[in-house]
Parts: sequence; C-alpha cells; structure tokens
Amino acid sequence: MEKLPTILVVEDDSPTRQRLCKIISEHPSLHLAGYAANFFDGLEKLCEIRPTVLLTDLGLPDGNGLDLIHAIQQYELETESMVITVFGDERHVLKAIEAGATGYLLKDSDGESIAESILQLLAGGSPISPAIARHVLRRVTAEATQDNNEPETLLTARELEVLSLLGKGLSYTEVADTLQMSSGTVTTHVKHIYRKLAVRSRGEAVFEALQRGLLKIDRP
Amino acid sequence: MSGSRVSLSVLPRLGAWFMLAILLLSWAVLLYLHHRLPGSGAIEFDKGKRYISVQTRLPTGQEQGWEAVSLTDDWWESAPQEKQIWYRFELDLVVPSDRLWAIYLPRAAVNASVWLNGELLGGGGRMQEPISINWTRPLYLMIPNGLLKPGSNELTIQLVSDLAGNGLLRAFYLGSDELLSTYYRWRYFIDVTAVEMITIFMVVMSLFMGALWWLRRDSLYGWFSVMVMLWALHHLPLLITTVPLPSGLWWWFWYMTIGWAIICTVYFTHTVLNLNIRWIQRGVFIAGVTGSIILAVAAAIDGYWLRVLGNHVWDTMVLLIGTYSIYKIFTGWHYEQDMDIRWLLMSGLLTFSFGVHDWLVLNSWIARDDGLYIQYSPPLILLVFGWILLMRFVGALTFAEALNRDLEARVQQQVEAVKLQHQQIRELEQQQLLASERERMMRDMHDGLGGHLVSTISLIEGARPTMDDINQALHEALDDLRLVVNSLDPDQGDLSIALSDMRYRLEPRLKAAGIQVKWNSAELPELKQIGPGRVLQILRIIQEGITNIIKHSQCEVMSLEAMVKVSNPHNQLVITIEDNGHGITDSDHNGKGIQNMHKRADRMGATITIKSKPGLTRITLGCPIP
Repeated sequence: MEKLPTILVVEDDSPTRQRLCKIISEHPSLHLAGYAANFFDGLEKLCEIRPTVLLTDLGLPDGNGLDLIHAIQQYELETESMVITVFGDERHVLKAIEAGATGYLLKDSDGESIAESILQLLAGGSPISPAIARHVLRRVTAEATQDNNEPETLLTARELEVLSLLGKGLSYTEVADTLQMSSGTVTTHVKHIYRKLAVRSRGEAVFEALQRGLLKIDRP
Repeated sequence: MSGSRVSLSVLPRLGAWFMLAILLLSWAVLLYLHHRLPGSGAIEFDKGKRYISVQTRLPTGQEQGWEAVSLTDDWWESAPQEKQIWYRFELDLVVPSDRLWAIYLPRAAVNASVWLNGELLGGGGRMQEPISINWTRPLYLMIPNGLLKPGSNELTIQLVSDLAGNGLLRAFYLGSDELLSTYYRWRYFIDVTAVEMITIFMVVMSLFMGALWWLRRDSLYGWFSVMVMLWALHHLPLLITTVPLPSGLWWWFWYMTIGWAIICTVYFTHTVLNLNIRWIQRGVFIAGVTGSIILAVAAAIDGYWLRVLGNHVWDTMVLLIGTYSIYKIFTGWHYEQDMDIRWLLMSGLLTFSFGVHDWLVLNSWIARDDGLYIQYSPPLILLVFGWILLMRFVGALTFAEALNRDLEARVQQQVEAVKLQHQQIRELEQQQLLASERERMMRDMHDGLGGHLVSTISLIEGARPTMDDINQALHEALDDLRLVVNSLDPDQGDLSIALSDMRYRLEPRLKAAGIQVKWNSAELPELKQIGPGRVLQILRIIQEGITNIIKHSQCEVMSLEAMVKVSNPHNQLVITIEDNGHGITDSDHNGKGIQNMHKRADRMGATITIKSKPGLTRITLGCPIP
C-alpha cells in the first residue's frame, strides 16, 4: 500500500482543531500524524514528525504560525504548509505566502472542501482568491515600475496572465478554458507564483538583515 | 532712552536759533552788498546841474534853465511830473591816467545815456517809448582812451522815465576799470543774476507744488503754488528791460502780482492752520478785487496816480494783509508749538521784515536808492516749505513702513488663526467621518451578524432544532460577516470584482450542491461611486438570492448577469440571477429571506422583481446609480 501523506495540525482553538483532525483522520487518502495547540509543541512535533503537510493557525498563544513556516525552511524540511484562516483575507494570506506557505484553508469550509484543498496542494496546486490574485498582481507590477523593470522579471508572462484572469473573478476552469490549459496547470502556476514570492521575500529579509548588521556572512 | 529724548527736544531749539541766524545773516548780507560802494580809489559824483527838458539832442553850449542838484536826485520829491531830465557834471583832472577808465552808475532809473565831452559813451537801451526799463540795474560804461583830457571835462547824463516822476539818479563813480568793474559785477549779480536764479527756482517750485496739488488735491499745495507763481511774475518788471505791455499796464501788473501773492498767503495760512474764517477770506478777496479795479483805472488815466495809489494805498493794504498772515502763523505756533509752523513763521518774519522795508522805501520813509528787498525772501520760504514737505514725505514713509509691518504682523496672526481653525475643522471632520463610519458598521453588524445570531438562538431555543439548521444559520452569519469585511476593503475596484469575490467564496457550496454556474458581469461602476453602504446591501441581496438557490431550488444551472442600463435621470444597475429549479412557491414569497431582500432594496431606493415558474426563476435587482 502506498504511503499516505502525513498531516500535522497546529491550532489553539480546540473545537476547530478537533474538527480538522476528524476530517483528516477520517479521510481515506490522508493520515493525521499529530496535532499541537501551541507554537512550541507545534515546532517540536514538526521536527520530530517531518509531516508532508503542516496546517497552522497564525495567532498562537505563545508564538506566530508564520515562524513555524519559517522553521520549515530553516530546517530544510520537505513539508508543505497551509495556514488556517477565518476570512482568507489578503493581508494575512499574503504574509503567510511570503513566509513560505503554499496554501490556505478557511476555517468554516466543509470537510469535503478541506480535504480536497489539502489533496490539491499535494497534487501541486494552490488555491487563490480573486482578491489575493489582484493583490499579488498589483504588488508585482508596482515593484517592477518602481525599479524600472518589466513585471516579467519576477513572474513569467503566463503567470501574470493567470493572475490577471483569476483577479477578475474567473474560476480555475474558466481560466483554463481561456488560456487553453488544464485546470491543474492553473493551480500549478499559482503554486509557482507563491514559491517565487516566498523566495523573493526571503531574499529581501536576508538583504535587510545584512543591511542592519543582524546577519554576517563568513567569507572564506 | 533719555539720551534720544534730549537730542530730540534740543533739535527744534537748535533749528529755531539756526533760523534766527539765517534771518539776521540774510539782512546783514543784503545790507552789506547794497551799501558796498567804491571808496577813495574812485571819484564820486554827487553834485552837479540838472536841466528839465524833453529835448532829445545833447544840450550843448546852452546855460539857461540849468539848476544845481545834489545826488541822489529822486524825482518823486524833486520832479514828480517829469519824464526826462538832463544832468551835467564838471571834472578837473590833473593828470589823466593811462589806465582804462570807467563810469559806474549804481542806480539810474528808469534809463540813462551818458556823454563825455560831447561824445556818447553809451546807455541802458532805448531812450524813446517804449523806454528800456533799467530801474534796478547798475550801469557801467568804459571810457575810450584819449577821451578823458587833462584839465576840464564835461559829463552829461540823459535820464528818462516811462511814468511821470519815476526817475532817480544816485551818486556815481569814475575810476579805473580795474577797481570799478568789481563793484559793478557784484551789484549786477545782486540786482539781476540772483533775482533771475531765485525766479527760476520759484517757477520750478510752483510747478512742482502745482503737480502735487493736482495729484493729491491738497489745497495747501495749490495755494502755495499760486502764491509762488504770482510772486515769480512780480519779479518780471525787475528783470525785463524791453516791456511787452504799455507801461501803465506793466506797472499795474507789478502791483497786482505781489498784492495777490500776499492775498494768497491768507488762504495758505488758513489752510495750514485749519482755519475757516469766511469773512476774512471774503473780505480780503473783495478788497483785492476792488483795489485791482481802482488801480487799473488809475493806470489807464495817469501813471502818477497809479504810482501814488499803488505805493501808498495798495501796498499798505497788502502789508496789512501780510501782517495778518504773519500774526495768524504766530498765534498758530504759539498754541500748537508745531515745528513746521515755527519754521514757516521764521521765513514769514524775514519776508515780512523785507516787506516792511520796501513799504517804507515806497512811501519815502527810507531813501529810494536803497532799493527793494522783498525779492530776496522767497528762497528761504521755499527752502522751509521744501523742508516741511521732505519731513512730511519721510514721516509718511516711516508711517507707511510701520503700518506695513503692523499689517504683516496682523496678517501673520490671521494666517495662524486660520491655520488653527482649519486644523480644528479637519479634526472635527475626521471625528465626524469616524463617527459616521462607526455608525454604519454598527448598523451593518446589527442588521446582518446580529440578526443571524438572534435567529440562530431562537432556532436553538425552539422546538427540535436539527444540527443542519443550526449549522446553516451559523454559516449564514459568517457569510454576512465576510460581506461586511469585504465591503470595508479599500482596494476593491469595481462592483464586478466584489461580486466575483463572493462567487469565489460560494463556489465550493455551489459545487457541492451540483450547480453549474454561468457568470456574466460587464464593466460595473466603481465601488466609490455607489458607496460602501449600498455595495454591502447589494452584495447581501445577491448573496441571499444565491444562498436561496443553493438551499431550495434544486436546480442544475444558475446564472448571474450584471450590467448598467443607461437611462434618465440616473443610470440603472441591473443584476439578474436565474435558476432552472422548481420555482418559488407562494409560501416562499412570504419567507424571511425574500422579505429581507425587499426590505434592503427599499431602504436604498432599489427595486426587486421576482418572476418564477417551475424550470425558470428570475430575480432582478434594479438600483439607480447617482
């Protein structure tokens, strides 16, 4: 039997945590590897279990879910991460994406959609709402204009096209039809976009840390 | 501080002494220059013979009719009705000098010609009508070499007058040119050049003051201008030798100009002192006009009477008028202690003293060969008045600058005040904006989330609630909260984007219900244009409609179409949602969901049309866009 993807849930609200755990453990294609109710517990389990997917809330009582996502990069784990949010509003979601998350879950989604989102992520696709798509597009364009660059320096022309159509409120299927690709390709594009944003944001963080003298590079 | 006060109070006192010094100095200079005559170096002629005759030929060899005379010979006294007299003087020279000799006549009115030993030496111009007027000019004649002989010489002078009895011959001198020319040049300067300069100065000042009057309409400058101009005209008979008018008219003009100039001082003084004594002003004017007419009549009849009336009556009246002006200025200064007035008083007193002198001369109290002085007083008056003007100008400038500074300060103050006010208004506006926004959010929460939660509670408290019902109620509450959050997002561009966000959110549920979605939304107005409150209501209505479709319709396809219909007076936003479900029953129509949609539409002036039959249900929202 094929090994099932392992999931770690970090959520301080116990009914939500229980609901998520229930949905995952009852799903035939997913395996609940563990759960935590706070940041340190979550970090410990993350390093110990090395799950396929981390589901984390952002506002934890003893820390920020974003730092868990950072930890994945720091320990070079091969874990995908998703943030759990109530509204899916662009401010929180974008922060998570820049930290390295490749997806997000709405807390009140029904069980089927939650499982489906996780599986879609594992299949290589990321979800994106029109508002977030617009936000990303606007930010990329604005930065390019500011640096006198073409927007293509960060994202490919195709990725920009996908973002623009999604921002107009088209569904994945409609975007796929318009651009003559499969809807799976659309979600893959979105995932790539997320990764690029995270990489760029890390680069910026390193650059900023160097500037402020918080980080030192030892040269041979 | 005290130092500056002392210096300020000393200054006018110094000024007063300075003025007094100028007054006395003017007198001294004038007296000195007028009485500066050649001494022992020259031969003075003060005794001779005269012969009253109208003959124009040199009376030679004729001894009858000659009478002894001593100079000065003033015709007013000795020949009041004559127009021409011959004079003869004998001179015994021991050894004639080989130097250049000359004859210097300090005063020979009105015109003279001089012969030496029967040869004409020269004269002051025309001896026949119209006679050249040289009454205030010295006469200087050089003697050709050889004309003056050792032994007896005879000097003959022909003296003519335009008016009867106006002639005057002062003692004269014979001597070396070297000696006499200096005296002559000095006298000429005093009698002619200085008066010319003064007159030009007066004309310029008068024009300047006239311009000031024209520009400022201050009658002070006007009176001063007229006065100075009249006075300048009064100098013309002193300067012009070839008279352009009949001599009677000419001398009448001479009396008039000074008379009216002095009359002007009354008006000028009244203006300076802010007096308005009507009867004086009128009286002076009437006296002036009456005197002018009488004098004109006298001039027309007889030169003698013009002179007598002019000197004794007219000039006396003028002197009295001048005295009045001086008196007024004096009392004005006494009461007001004004510096300007004191200076005016000083210059007025000098003029007045000169005027008294001239009046005494013209009325034979002082010998006529002393000449007239009044023409020398204008410079002081003009200087004083110019100084006053300068001070006024400087004062006005200083005042204007102070005023400007004050104004600037006040403007600055106002600017600060306005700034503060603006800031307060801005703060108030912000507070108001915040308050209204808060109010809107409260209302939104109350309408949406609050209502949903209350209905959920009633559901739970009611008979046998199912978990599904509660789940659905809570989902609705959350959906509405999402709408409120979305409607607050400032980033959203137009309504179609807000609608598509909603679609994205509802998509999983539509999918779960097995409903295929057709979404057709054209370019819709910007959210700002519709206003956040109405956007929320529109989204709520549409969300309610779609939720109803998911819950009740059991349809396979639903579609949404949004567009703007152009119409008058307002464009219409039209959103239609259709489904192919089993339709809305009458009981559904009265259901809370549809009632809510109507209520919300009513509140923002929109309309909801519902058409339903099995297989096709259409809900249309029509909303006017401002």
